[in-house]
Amino acid sequence: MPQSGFEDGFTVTTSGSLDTWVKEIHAKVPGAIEEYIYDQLKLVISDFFQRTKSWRTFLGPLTAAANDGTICLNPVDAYSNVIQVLEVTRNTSPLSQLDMKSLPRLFATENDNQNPSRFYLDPYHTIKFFPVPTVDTEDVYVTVALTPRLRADNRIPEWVVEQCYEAIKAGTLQRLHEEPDKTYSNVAKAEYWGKKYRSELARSRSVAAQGYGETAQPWGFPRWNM
Amino acid sequence: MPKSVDNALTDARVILNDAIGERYTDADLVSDFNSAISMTKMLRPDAFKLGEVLPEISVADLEQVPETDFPLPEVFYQSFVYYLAGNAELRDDEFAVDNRAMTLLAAYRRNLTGDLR
Repeated sequence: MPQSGFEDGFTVTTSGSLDTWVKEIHAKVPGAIEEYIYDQLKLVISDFFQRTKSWRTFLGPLTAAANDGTICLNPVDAYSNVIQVLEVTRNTSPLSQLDMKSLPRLFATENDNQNPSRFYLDPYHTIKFFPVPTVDTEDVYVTVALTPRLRADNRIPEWVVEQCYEAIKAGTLQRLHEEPDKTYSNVAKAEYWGKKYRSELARSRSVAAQGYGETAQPWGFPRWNM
Repeated sequence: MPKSVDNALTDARVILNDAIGERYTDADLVSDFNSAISMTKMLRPDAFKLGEVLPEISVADLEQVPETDFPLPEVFYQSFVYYLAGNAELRDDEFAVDNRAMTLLAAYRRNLTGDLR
């Protein structure tokens, strides 16, 4: 039975369906409940984007209101959520991120309330400028990592299906096979799919970190005879 | 066509060789059906919604139009039939029937948790 922890339906015009995965996965885990496979798929998609930060974009220009200095990024749009702020830029200069532990010390010393030069995150998708500006802070651009919003209608952006098919399939199969006392419980298969999933995580993280360009140079034994 | 609770009782009675329901009353089988639901919750919690009150069937739910839907995913239907027949057979005291009861209950359990091959 489907769990209720997912948002209600919303369909974007160019969207893919989780059904693309479910049919193949179901064939590999006979006896699994279809709705449960959907739930596991959604958890893996969420985990995949949390761990790889492989969906990156920049947002802006944004403005933080005077005497507030806060920019809340979520909900960013109808089909994605910000999971991490990677960089904040203002007037073409990146702002430095503060450790929240140092805030009490800094409150006493900072006094330029016109041009905040630093920020902290509270929580992961809310940017707070420091010191709190007394005027509107404009032209703020942020680079963020996103995750698809997981909805009850089982639709996600189509590129996720195209680009991450194998990774998400592997992660879901790992979770299903590692469950105890099911017709499809299988430790060896869970390990096999777990390895594939972790390898896809590393690849996707690396591709995203390099701006979706060429993949990382694969590691190899050094050649001594050249 | 979706399976119903009535279908499950009818199919169990075929195995029990009691098609007209002389030896095993509806009340007996409905009680077994409810036991099967709670037993299944223990073996396959993934088939139920979190925090959901377990569905409970009563004799009044039989012979309705339309028939009362089988309350779990249909992949469990045949297992329920085995459970109903096996549990009903447990009540008899002849050795041969006891053996059948054990076979049926083992089939129920194997379909839910064991290797299907």
